[in-house]
Amino acid sequence: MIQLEKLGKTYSSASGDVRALSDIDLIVPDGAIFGIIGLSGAGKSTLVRCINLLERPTSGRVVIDGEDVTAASQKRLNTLRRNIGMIFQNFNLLEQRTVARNVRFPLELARADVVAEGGKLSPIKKRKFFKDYCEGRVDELLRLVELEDKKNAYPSELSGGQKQRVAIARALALKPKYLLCDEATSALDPNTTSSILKLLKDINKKLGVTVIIITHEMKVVESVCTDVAVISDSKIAEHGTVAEVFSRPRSDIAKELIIPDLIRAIESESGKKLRLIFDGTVSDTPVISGLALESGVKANILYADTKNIDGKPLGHMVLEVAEEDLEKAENYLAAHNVLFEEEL
Amino acid sequence: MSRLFTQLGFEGFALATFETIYLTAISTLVAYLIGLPLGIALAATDRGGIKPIPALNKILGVVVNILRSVPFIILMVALIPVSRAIIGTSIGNGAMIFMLIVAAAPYIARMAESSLKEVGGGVIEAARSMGANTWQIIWKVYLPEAKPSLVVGAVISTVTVLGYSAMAGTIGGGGLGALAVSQARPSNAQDVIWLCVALTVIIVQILQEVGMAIAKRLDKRQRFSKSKRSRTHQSLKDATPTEDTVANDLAQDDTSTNDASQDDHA
Repeated sequence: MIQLEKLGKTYSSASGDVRALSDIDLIVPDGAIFGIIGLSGAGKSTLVRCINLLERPTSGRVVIDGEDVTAASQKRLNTLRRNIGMIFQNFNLLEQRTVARNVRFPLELARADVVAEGGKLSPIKKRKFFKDYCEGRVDELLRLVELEDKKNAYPSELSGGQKQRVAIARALALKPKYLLCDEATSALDPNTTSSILKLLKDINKKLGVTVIIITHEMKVVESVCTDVAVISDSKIAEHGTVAEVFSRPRSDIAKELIIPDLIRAIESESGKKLRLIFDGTVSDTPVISGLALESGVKANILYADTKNIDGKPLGHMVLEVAEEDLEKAENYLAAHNVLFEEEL
Repeated sequence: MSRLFTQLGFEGFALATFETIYLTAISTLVAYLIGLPLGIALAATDRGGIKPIPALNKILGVVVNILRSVPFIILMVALIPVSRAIIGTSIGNGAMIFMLIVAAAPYIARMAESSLKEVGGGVIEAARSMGANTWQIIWKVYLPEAKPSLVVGAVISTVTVLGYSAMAGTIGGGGLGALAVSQARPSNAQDVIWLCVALTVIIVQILQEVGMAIAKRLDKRQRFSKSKRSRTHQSLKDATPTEDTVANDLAQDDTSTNDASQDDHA
């Protein structure tokens, strides 16, 4: 479990202090695919870099599995980082190494720990043990990301999606418990993005790796995340499960990110508006016909959309109703267990 | 043909050529043993480097700058007593090597520093995220990733040292420079001077060609971008080649190593 407690980060520059993060409280449960979404400049990249201390927070604590990472020595920190893989927007592969040797790289960094797994060995046997271990592990990882045939290729020969797959294999080499993804799909086209997201989901399921995804694309959160935190203006605007936040976004920024057309629909029309939320749990009652026929409410549909969140359909519909019909409509919806909110 | 030319014969020129190569090789090699670590230190301790130590960086920077700003011929004169104190003599090839090292090391340090700084910050950040310590970043990221650029720097440095070595004649050293300046010029043996020039040009050419070929071979970044480029041209063949498409091609060439928007067929 990753806990961020009252995390803050301020950059001081000649022209004054710039606050990138303030008072961030967040818990990332084990096994989650945790999305952190925000517009550019909101502080999300800084936030993810504070988790593995690539950026040192200026206040607050980062606690991972009960250990205060912010208080760890540099040496201890380097060990802790091996438990947290990271992938990047620009892949950051070593250009002068082959695919296989890129994946091997973290194993080389942690050679002493890897060799220790083989028990007490003579130097020559150690060498052999390490070599065999690396070969096995690299093959295993390249199979996982489906790049066995590119083993001896150099990064310059790969497409963007392939590069990111190598980066994922590399990040997983030391069997980390956590995987941080900093805008990992932002440089990729839509098809490649979904194949990478599918891979991340598989890794989460098969290997039980907790994945933290930083993104500015709602599609990414929508298609793979279980939990989401919306960050705006250096603060967490709201967080919860994706289904919760998507069905009942409370903050303006969440509404804007999740259902931009809805906001436009609400703003463009006058009169009373009801937002109906369909989360797949309501029975098959034809709600809208019922509303018109049974309660005689005349409703105008301003907006409707359905998304597939975590395998369940999630829909929003905005109705415009006459002021005198409002109470009747609300009573009808409540009686039929339809979630709704009055939008102003 | 001048008398000096016949006097020297094949052996005379061969000796001078050998001396030039020997002076250059030894000095450059030793200068690298000093200059490369110094260059690593300069790159690493800089603000934004992997181990920022601004005070040390400043001191190293000033020392390097002072040594580099003195013209070699003046530095040689200034180093005469130092050479006498350290290696016991201020004349001959030994003293010349000492002086070449003092002049070349800071030059090499700056060359190495600039090569190392070409290594992208992203790669270093990735290494740090995997728990790499400072030494591991130097050995496993900085040096291997900068290798092609370091080799190019080595070629340039060697040619520079070769140029400096021509001044060996002034302190009684040997080589092609000494032959041309101290023997051929006083006796006005133009043919000897021109042969010295030609031999120097040949050495530099060989160095340059071999060095660049090695650098190119080592660099895995552009290895296959050529075929990629030709594919781009293929797809543009139907379109009328306008200035725009040509400019696009050029822009693409520049960014081809880091092109992130390529489609994925996986």
